[in-house]
Amino acid sequence: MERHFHEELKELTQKLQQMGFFAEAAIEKATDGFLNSSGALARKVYDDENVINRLEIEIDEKGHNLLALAQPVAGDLRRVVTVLKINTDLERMGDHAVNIAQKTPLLPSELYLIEKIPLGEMAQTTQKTVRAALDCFVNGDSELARHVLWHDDKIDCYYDTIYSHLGNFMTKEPSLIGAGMKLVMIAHDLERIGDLANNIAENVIYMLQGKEVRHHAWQVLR
Amino acid sequence: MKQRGTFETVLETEDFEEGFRGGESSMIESVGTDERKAEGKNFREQPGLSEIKIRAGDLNVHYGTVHALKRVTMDIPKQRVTALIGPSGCGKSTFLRTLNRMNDTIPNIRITGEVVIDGVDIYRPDINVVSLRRLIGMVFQKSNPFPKSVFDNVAYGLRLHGIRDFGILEERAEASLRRAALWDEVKDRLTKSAMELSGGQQQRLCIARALAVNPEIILMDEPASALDPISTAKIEELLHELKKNFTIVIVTHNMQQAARVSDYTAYFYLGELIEFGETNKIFTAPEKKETEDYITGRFG
Repeated sequence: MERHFHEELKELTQKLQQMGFFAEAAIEKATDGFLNSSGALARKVYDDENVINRLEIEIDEKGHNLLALAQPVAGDLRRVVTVLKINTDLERMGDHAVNIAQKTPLLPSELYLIEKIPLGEMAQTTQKTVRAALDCFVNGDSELARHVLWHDDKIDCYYDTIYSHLGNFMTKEPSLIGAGMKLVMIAHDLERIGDLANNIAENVIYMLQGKEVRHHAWQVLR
Repeated sequence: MKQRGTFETVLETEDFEEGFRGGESSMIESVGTDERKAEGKNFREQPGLSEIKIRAGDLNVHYGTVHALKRVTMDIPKQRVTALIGPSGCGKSTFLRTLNRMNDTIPNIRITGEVVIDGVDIYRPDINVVSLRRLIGMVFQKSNPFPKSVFDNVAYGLRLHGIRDFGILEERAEASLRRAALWDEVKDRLTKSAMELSGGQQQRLCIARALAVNPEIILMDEPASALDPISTAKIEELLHELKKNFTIVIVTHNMQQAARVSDYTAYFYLGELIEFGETNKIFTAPEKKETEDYITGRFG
């Protein structure tokens, strides 16, 4: 028996999927725009951001309505709660994409420094991780979710490397401090996006299996 | 060596007052003497279960050729609310009625297995069923007050068990009405007919009547399904209070109600106990797909 509620739950899920699509696009445009120093590409992020913000409110409202009116339980409850959490995560991702876009285009000193750090690789890994996090939600794939947790560690490694490299450059050449600071901030935005993707994966595992894996993901990976 | 608790004392003496004085300290130890292992689905020794009041072991009920309850093995914890859920005909009411032998009078019924309460198998041939039901009160879907005064309703069971002293009757009646959260509403009309009370009040009166004889277990068969939301809420609140002193087993068709009032939930389907566990767990992450399908309404 298919219930009207399950239709609504499907709609909620689809809305989140749609929001994920825009968040993914925003991150891609922001990082590609930044790395290619393309102000025009970066500016497109703002359009995505507007859609993301609108969807955030819509998803929240719909989710709250479902909780109040249908009082879901078990897997249905976990799905609604997970959607509401991922909703917030995606909105934050959009904000980080905007942060990156705001720092585009690059100055010559920044272009000089960017050659010396693995920021492009970090951006690529971050994009892949976000896509994987969304895929595991859409496809209900808890195995992929576990991979996302592992990928996030890779992003953290990139961040540590970039942070220490840039620290060294800035110590040696104080005129690069401005550029170095900006790139550290970009790397930090990417690192945060990775963390949010990680949150999504953890929540998807909870949604699918009812298992709590937050804060001890290493146990799951073993 | 089996220690004597209230339960056994009452069953053997058939003396109401003696039962009251029987002491409660040794009821728990006696449970441990039941070593029988059932072979059906085993819901014994669940992690986190508190002291066990009722143990059903490999319990089968046949109505003629119908196998209504299939090898149910389940431990019901003391002073907790255990909800029995499942679609109509799943066996939950049958199970409830085996707990105080309400099924005994049904023709062609055959019951095998055991129901052990505080170490005593209540299907033992020497069990006095009247005394048993003094210890196990029951409340039904439709409130069934006697066509007597409010006071006489509550005092009925006490008189039946031989109490004549009006002072004691008054004292016990007031205590029971207070426990059933009804005292304030009826204290000025104790002599009026119980039939004049509202549906919700009548149901709480039935609960007070059950409490008056100081049972240890209260069985409720959809006690709020005929009541309006406010009366339902009162009954539900009452359950939270009552479980401090009583072990409660409730059959309900209202899943939200089961979620709200119970500590443990048992899901029955086609006479089988499919899943039994903590209510939090059942309603957020049940183990069995059948349970999930039923409580999320995907069933059928």
